[in-house]
Amino acid sequence: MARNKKHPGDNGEPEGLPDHGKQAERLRAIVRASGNERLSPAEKELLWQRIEADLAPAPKIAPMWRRLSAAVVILLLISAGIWGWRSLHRPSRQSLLAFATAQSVNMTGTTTRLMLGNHQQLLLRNNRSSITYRQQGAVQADTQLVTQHLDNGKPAFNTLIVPYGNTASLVLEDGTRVWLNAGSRLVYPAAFAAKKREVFLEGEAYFDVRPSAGQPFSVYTSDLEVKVLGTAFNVTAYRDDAGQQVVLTSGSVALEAHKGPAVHREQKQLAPGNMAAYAPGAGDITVKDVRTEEYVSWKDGHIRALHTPLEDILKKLSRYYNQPIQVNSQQGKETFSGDLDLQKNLTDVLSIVAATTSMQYEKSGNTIILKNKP
Amino acid sequence: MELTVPNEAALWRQVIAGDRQAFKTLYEAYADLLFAYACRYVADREIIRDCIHDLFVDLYGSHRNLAPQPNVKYYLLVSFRRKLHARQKKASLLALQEDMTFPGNTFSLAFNADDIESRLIANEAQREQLQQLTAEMNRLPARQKEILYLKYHCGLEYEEIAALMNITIPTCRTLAYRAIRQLRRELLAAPAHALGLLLFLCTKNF
Repeated sequence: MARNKKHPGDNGEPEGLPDHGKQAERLRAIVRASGNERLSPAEKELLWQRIEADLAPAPKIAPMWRRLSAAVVILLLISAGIWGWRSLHRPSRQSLLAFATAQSVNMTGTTTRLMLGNHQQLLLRNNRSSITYRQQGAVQADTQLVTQHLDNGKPAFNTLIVPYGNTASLVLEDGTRVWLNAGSRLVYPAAFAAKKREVFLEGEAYFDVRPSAGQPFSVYTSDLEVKVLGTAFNVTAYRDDAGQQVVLTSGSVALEAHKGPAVHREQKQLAPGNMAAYAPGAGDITVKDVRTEEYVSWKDGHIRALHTPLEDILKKLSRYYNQPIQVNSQQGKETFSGDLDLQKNLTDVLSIVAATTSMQYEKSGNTIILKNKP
Repeated sequence: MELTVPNEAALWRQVIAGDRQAFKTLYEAYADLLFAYACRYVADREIIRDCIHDLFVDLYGSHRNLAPQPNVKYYLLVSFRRKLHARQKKASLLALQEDMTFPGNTFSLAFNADDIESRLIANEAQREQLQQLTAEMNRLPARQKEILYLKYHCGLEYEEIAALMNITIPTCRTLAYRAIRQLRRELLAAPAHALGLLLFLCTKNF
């Protein structure tokens, strides 16, 4: 029977031999045990980093970033080796960063959202929300009080999403105060671990860190790590900006790149009044002295401009009021000084800008355009 | 190798929606299978890693247009094979040996029972039988080995194997059957102690 070729049925397996399960099982076992090459864990992780770096950017990214991304990706590939290797030895940072970067969040919309660890989401109708964490995962968000169950030893990451047009202030479980500017996302554990405090920021925030001996505080952005030694400082890390900045108002922080060309360089120590800037496309972290109030005044509801390019002022207004604003003139590069009160509505603020710059503004579709007077 | 993810249909929906976490889960679940599969055709790990990279990056790039309910494993293997093929073709053109390394012509696999011996086999006689079966399996033509591998290692159905190898379904079944017949014949001709094997050899599930 075995020598004759059996024609297989349409659906079933070829038949004709009795089932002698044991030997068939051996055959299958041999096949399964053969050709089992695997990527090493490090290789697998590294390859994922490479893939992730090349994934198409999320839809809401400004064109400038797209042009830059090619350069950034190439540099990332070079640095990925070291980063990938190091990341294996830093499980906790990796898990916060991995969580934060893998998180798919919608930054559009007009409502501030608080995402808790248990997939619960709070919508905060107030466009200047205030949130306070208390012990054991209890959260006071404006007038709502919620609790979340905390699994011992497992970090429950919470995420606060502040869309353009809103700001929010937050007191973390350790007493650290954070002011989040418009278009920002902060990821943090509902309760910090005993040995370290780590948060992730996209966008802009001002931190006033509660000192705590033996429990260092770190702010991660997509590219940087800001190591805090009890202090107040401002971090700007918008996705649609070419670079990221850290401005230190008091105390001391150390800065380390975990992405881009400066990734294996020594960390940079900042002194009060220093601004560190880092663009993964542009080389090392640079440090210069600035008037800090220009960079942190937004948290108190005004923009303090000190020889600030008009373009930069308009970008801040644009984020704060969630209103695209363009300048249609060479004047965008000119610098201005003064104080804009963000408690006023946008029309009032724009009138002040127009008066100061001797320009006029008009609405074209969804965008406000500032241009020279005819 | 157990590669199934808890709820593949749900995962795939998230992948289509562009969820990066789901995408990573997909990668974690299938990277090793894809890697092992590629090792059957390509020796250079770097080329394989590049192709896995390209596969996932392209998959993400077109996540909105993915079929809603595919057999995920099969879908990945087919797309991946195309990448390997393209890459190999490019490499062989550069080396002026066109199509010599075309995947499918050069399936290479040495069956090896070492890993399962201690687990499966109690006595010396059985151990020998297992070694002999392995040796005979290694004498099979590459295409027959390939079918065995795709069927039992990758867990594909005949229809899928045929499509992947670019042969008809009857051809695929015939090749599979020949493999079994070959093993039977060789083991028949073997010394007496191996004869016992013959009785057990089976095509029922084949």
